[in-house]
Amino acid sequence: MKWRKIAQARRSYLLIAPSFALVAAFLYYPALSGIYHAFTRWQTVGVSIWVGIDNFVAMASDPFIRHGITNQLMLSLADFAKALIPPFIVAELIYALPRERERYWMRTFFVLPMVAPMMVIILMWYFIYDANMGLLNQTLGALGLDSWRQAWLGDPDFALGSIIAIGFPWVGALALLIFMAGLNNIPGEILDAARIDGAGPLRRVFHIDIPMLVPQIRLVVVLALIAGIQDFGRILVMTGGGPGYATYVPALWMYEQTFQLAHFGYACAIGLMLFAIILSGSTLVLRLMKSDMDT
Amino acid sequence: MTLSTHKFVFYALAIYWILCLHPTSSSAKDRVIFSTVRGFYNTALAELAHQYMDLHPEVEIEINIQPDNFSILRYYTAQMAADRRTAPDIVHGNLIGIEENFHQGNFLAINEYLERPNPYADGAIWRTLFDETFLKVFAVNGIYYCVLPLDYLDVAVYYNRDIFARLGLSPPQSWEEWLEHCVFIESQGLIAISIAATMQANVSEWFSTMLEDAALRHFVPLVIAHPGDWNWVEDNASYVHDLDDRYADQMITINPERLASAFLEGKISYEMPVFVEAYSAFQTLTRHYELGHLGTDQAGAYNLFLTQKAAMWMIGSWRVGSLMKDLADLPEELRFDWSVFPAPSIKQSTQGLGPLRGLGGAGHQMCIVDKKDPAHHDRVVDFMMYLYAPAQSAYLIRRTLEMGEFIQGAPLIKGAREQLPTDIRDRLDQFGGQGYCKQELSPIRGDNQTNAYLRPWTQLFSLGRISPDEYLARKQVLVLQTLHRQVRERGYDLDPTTEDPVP
Amino acid sequence: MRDYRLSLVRLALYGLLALSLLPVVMMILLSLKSNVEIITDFWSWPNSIRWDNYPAAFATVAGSTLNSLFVSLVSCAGILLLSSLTGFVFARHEFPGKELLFSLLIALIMLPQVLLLVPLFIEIKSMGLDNSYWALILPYLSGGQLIGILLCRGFFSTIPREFFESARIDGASEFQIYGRIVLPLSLPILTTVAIINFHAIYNDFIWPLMVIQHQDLKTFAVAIFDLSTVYRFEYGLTFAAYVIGSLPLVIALLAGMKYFIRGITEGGLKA
Repeated sequence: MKWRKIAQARRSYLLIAPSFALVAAFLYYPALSGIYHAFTRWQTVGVSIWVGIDNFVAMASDPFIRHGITNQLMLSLADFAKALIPPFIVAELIYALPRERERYWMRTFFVLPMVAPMMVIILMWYFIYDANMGLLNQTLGALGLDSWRQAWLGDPDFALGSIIAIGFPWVGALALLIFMAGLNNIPGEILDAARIDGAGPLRRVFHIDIPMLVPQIRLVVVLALIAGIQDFGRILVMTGGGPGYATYVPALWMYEQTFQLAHFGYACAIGLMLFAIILSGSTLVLRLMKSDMDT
Repeated sequence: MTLSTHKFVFYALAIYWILCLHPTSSSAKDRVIFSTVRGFYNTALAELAHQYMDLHPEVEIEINIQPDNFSILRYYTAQMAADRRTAPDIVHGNLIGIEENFHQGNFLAINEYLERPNPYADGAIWRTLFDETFLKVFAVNGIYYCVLPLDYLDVAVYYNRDIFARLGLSPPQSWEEWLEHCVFIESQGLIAISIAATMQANVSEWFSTMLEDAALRHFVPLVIAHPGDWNWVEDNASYVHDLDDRYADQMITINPERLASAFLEGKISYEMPVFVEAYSAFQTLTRHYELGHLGTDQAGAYNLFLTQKAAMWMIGSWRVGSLMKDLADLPEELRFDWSVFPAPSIKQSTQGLGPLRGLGGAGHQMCIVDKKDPAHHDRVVDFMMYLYAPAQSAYLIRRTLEMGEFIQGAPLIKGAREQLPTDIRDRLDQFGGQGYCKQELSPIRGDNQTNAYLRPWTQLFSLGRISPDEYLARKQVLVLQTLHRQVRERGYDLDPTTEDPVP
Repeated sequence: MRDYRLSLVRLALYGLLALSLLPVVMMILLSLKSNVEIITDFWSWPNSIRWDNYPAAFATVAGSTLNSLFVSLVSCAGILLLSSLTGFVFARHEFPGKELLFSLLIALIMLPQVLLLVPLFIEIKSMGLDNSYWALILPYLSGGQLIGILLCRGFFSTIPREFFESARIDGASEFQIYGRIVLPLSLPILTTVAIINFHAIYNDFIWPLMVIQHQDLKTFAVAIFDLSTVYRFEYGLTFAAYVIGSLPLVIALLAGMKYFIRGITEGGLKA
């Protein structure tokens, strides 16, 4: 019986076959290969030796991993805050505008910075931070605040903070649109009821908007978590992980293990660890923010 | 939208993909990939490659330009590990760790090829076209793995003569005087030394290499290959241990097993006072770099010198051409006169640190990758012979200057030197003459793994965050770890009289 | 009182907007200054607007910009095709194992790129696809289609069944239904998928850095990173190059902005 059904549906299978072929070749296969090779010593392709958990033991005493995880934690926390708070505030501000037309143009303008390629933004900030020629120190100098001038990227005390500050004021276009969509979808009755109860704008934000936006907030947090842990491009460009260990993150170390040292097995182990962190982090976020309003 | 347009678009796209995306390496020609760094000789190299392909239509030469040495390292490492057959055949070896690669069997020894006639130089034996000294300087244990002394380059401190004259300074004769200069320059509101120290290029480390070289030379008698050692060469017999003679150890071979033993037995240790003095001197100098030197790239450091914000700039002979061009491009009132001086030596050394030596030598060190395919090697070497015959070398220099591109240093190949305009030649002749650091004396030279683990500490040290003692203790630990690993990986039995096969 | 509050809101919005746009504005202004002007007098307004940075910048980055554009367009076209097709099948067809297969696809959305980076690089290398656009397009297609399939399935499920039934009665084939009904209806959602992917692919840096070494094949992000590590930094030229490289994103966003905003605001993106 079942086989007949399958045979009848062969056209459906045929139609989804391209998607699955790609996924099998370029997602499942490398993912499984990565998980397997995390337990091997793999320095030349074709030659990998099973070493059990040796790579993970080595990771435990690797200073780059130790410092990297701390730095990543700081970066990820900052990424959450950056991904959530400014877009949410701007969404609320735009929402407070009375006329639909003005709201439309406002949100359009806030999407505009998306036109600058990410690498351009990173390099612009690299230029802003340059200790001697950069915009930031030149501005401080012009304002007579010479003592505030810092080697923003060349000083271990400031480097991580400087990388976090990239993109100030961090109004992410995607998150902004997602929040605006959420705000627009709040049923009018609820808002009317709140108004009748005499709730001020702040009380409305905290008691209605935020609880109603939980699904959107969750989406934005998960997106930020996934993107943040993988995005070592900005660090590679800005500091290369230094000074000292100040801005190393595990993903960058993984990249260097691959391309400087050809330690593929160890790199895969770092990748697997990051995968575990992202997976448990996302699950935790989704669990914590579970809400019965979400249907 | 109708069905047919969709089908059309779909098929058109499919065909377009196949046309556009087909990997290009399908040709049956023998393919030689030549990977070098951007900015020098690039146009002329590409032209010579085409001329060679006209002579040999059965060969395809690909000139692969990487933005900097660091990118070459990444490119080469990944390519070699992933598939040696498609890795570059000829690679710029500056940052790759030539010796380590040689020990891993990655680079081809070309002793035998050097004795063959070069068909592109009227059949002259290839070896005779090169400067024998430079061949030897870059040999390991008497094996030549990397030839092409194309040009002579060295590092030096560039200084702004106008600023020096205004402040009444002349090029320093000693390390101590240099530091005084720096203090005085800074008191005048200028940056003393602009230097780049990013991941891609850490110029600051050149100074520590020179100072460390002055310290390591103390131990040459311990580690020089003795008569009976497997890598003893005749030049070793004439070695006289004189720390003030910059050239005493240039031609000798160091026995790597004696070097390893000396460190492992504690006869040499980075915690010895002579290293502490060298590194203390280095750390004092780092105070006179520009603000944030660890975040300043090559362009940033250069701009500080070019805009006269910095009185001195540390770099090598390969920047002569671009500096001359950029100064000429500036408005008259912004131009300045400049010259170079070598890093001066410590006069009042308590530990007997000898004179500092140059970091130069033959530029454009091209290594041939061992692909375990002798027929292919013949092809690769034939192209190298073409490239490094006098006629082609002269073309390389002439064409590079014609194109407004830059050469790295004074040409070494016979006949090529005359191609240089006198103003550039005069500038280039100011470099060198200080001898060369004996890099084989460093047990971790070219060891990318150790250098990666040491790098954060080097950075913190150059910021003054950790003391010389702390830094050297860390370095010593890493060096011992490295030596244990090398002994294991290279199969050393620590008996200097026997050559040990790589396991 | 109300007006006062409203002007405060406007003030905050315009302030934040100005700061957000600052790098873009700075990039454009600096691209119109000469190198000497920037090095010597950073602050001055461009003395005279110098367009001559642009031809030189164009010669430098036009190739890599076109490479990025090509890869992004082809990938996006493929992603749209795959996600609407597969999304349609999952929404409208019934077949054994449907839900299992769907979760096998969707679970991958959570799969981070870092786990794949090294093994995928080796895979691409051993297939001999490195230094070709395949090395970029195939992984982009595989990963980019997932969100699209999820969104499209959700969207197609909301289209009333009668729509398809009546078309079928009219004798339309499956492909005709797909072409005439499904595609036009799903334009907003597909535009959103396209823009998100176009943006991500155009901006990708690490993966192209790993698999493309040929100068002629490099993408814009890698090419300008290379430009920034060069010995002599031509500020004016570089900023002009940034502007030129931004153009494809400008065009893509302007063309799709309306649908993009509608797609997100109406598509009900949530997790």
